[in-house]
Amino acid sequence: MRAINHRSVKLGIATFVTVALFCISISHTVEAQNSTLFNPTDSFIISDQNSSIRFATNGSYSSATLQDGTWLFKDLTLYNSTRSNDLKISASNSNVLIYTYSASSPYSQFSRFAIIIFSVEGLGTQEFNLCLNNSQPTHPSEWGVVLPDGTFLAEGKNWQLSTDDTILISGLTGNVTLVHYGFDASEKGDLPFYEEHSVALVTLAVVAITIIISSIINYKVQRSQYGH
Amino acid sequence: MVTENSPTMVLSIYIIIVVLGIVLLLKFSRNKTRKISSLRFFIQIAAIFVIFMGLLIGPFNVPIFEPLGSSPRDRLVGADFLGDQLPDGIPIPILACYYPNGRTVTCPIWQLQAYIFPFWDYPRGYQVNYSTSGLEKIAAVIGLVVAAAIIFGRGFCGWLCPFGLYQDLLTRIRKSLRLRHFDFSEKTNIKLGQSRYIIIAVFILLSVIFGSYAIFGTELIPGTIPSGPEGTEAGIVSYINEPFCLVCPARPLCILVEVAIGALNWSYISQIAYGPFWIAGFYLTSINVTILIIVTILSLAYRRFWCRICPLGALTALFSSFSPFKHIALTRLEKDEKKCTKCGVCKRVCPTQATAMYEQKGGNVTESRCMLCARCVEICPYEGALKLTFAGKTLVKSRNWLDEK
Repeated sequence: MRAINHRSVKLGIATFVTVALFCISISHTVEAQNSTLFNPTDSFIISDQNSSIRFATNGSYSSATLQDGTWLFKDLTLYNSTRSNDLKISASNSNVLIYTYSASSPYSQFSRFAIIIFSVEGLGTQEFNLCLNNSQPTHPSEWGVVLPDGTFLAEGKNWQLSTDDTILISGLTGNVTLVHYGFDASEKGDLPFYEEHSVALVTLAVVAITIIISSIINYKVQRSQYGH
Repeated sequence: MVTENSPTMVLSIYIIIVVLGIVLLLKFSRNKTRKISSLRFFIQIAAIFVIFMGLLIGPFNVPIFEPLGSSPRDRLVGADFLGDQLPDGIPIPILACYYPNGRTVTCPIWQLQAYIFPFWDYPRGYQVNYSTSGLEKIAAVIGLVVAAAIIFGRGFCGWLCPFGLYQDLLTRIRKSLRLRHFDFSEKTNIKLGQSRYIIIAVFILLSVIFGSYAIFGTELIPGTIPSGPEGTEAGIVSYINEPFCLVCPARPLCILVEVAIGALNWSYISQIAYGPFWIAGFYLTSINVTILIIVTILSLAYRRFWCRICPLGALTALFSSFSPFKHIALTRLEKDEKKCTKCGVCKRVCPTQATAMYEQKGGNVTESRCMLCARCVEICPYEGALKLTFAGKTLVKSRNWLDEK
């Protein structure tokens, strides 16, 4: 009887943990806005440059225009993304297949995250502009060009960042992830001293208060213990 | 696929934790010498949820990305409320990586290393912007660790640390197999305890060597200049920043938990299958995994093996178990010498083989090896001989459980 109870308790614990993990995995997908729909069979050709752009999933955009060998997709939303964003893309002597595109997180005032995962066929060049709408040009350290084995390529090795935040990729084939980790850097130079160093000052205050209060408490405890 | 968790889910998880806690308390509270352990076990499990799922503050109800090979943590809560002065979050002395919780809670060892190198004098971190110098950030981290250590001491290790829970679970597995544990000799145990300080000193020194260009203007190791073509995302900077994290045994477990809850992509685990031995993956290294395996085996044999050499435990002990901090620490293990019969049971049950509660005379018997787990308090059969106190108030004390019906 005791063994059965033991087992049932263990089973209960295991069930709760499983349910907990299951609950977290339950999710709902936010629907994309509708405009012009496309699917994986649609191809966006850049005939002058012997290249094409395709998407691996269904999706939509409000407009798609080809200008000077560059496709500009307005309000592009892929099936596997919740947010729409503009995308400028160009390629030469290569075919690009885009799997995922998501940009400009609205969830943080500091973080601006953008990612595009694609595969390249043909040893040509590709240009991506993720239309980040940053107030100032991005820095190369905010960008990562990642190969499937997790290797981050340094700028200068197969990719370059231009002043308009366009990434030029060359000589890569296969799956590639282009990711931007950014933020809107706030200007701190003009802030008063206590605001510019508020965390350090708060820490100093916390440590000082902790030491003072704990010293007083321990002094009182010792006094009461030894009856002084 | 982008997914979103609703507040209802958060509430349901809370309810599950409470129910789980009640089940555990009901189960274990029947055992006279396991009442505190059962409470501690519940708190340890609840801490896992709080730390990794961001139940208190965190990215729980914002979309979770699942792109291949990239982190989903696009919401940095730490950055939201700490701004860009300490955007990586508040340091809490528990071995849990900076990944969880949108960096509201961060491992202080990671922070100390990262702010020496590569972010000593570099304005950008992983997705965040730093407006203050490395020195100021380090000062804030040490200050907060000092405050935490004065308040709870190594209670963090005993009651909250996820890696401590992992070792406790290994102990439970060993016990269920009816295998006896091994003990180190007193001399070896003391040496292990001392090695913690050497370990943390070595890794901090390594960080200083890597950060030599930013700190002293001299590059002691080639490839350690952040930014530039071979800088931030290339070569040594990508791989050997934060050297302790490359060997930390808790890291694979943290990543495993986060992959399990969907906060990280599976590729973070699968990456260990390829790449050179010393890196084998972007975040996870073969060294991490190897050390985890070794620590797991040793923890099966020796209770809380890692805690005896843990550099983070050393850092906490430094600010709570030694003078002058020992005299103002708020959480203490206290002994009433008059009630102690020197039976030695407290010494035998201590998971880290601390001996002060046996050897020292009455008063504050907290020592650097003591994790304030209160195992000695619950096993001591003499009323009030040992007690765990906070700010002079008794939290738990030993009872004459032999005479209890």
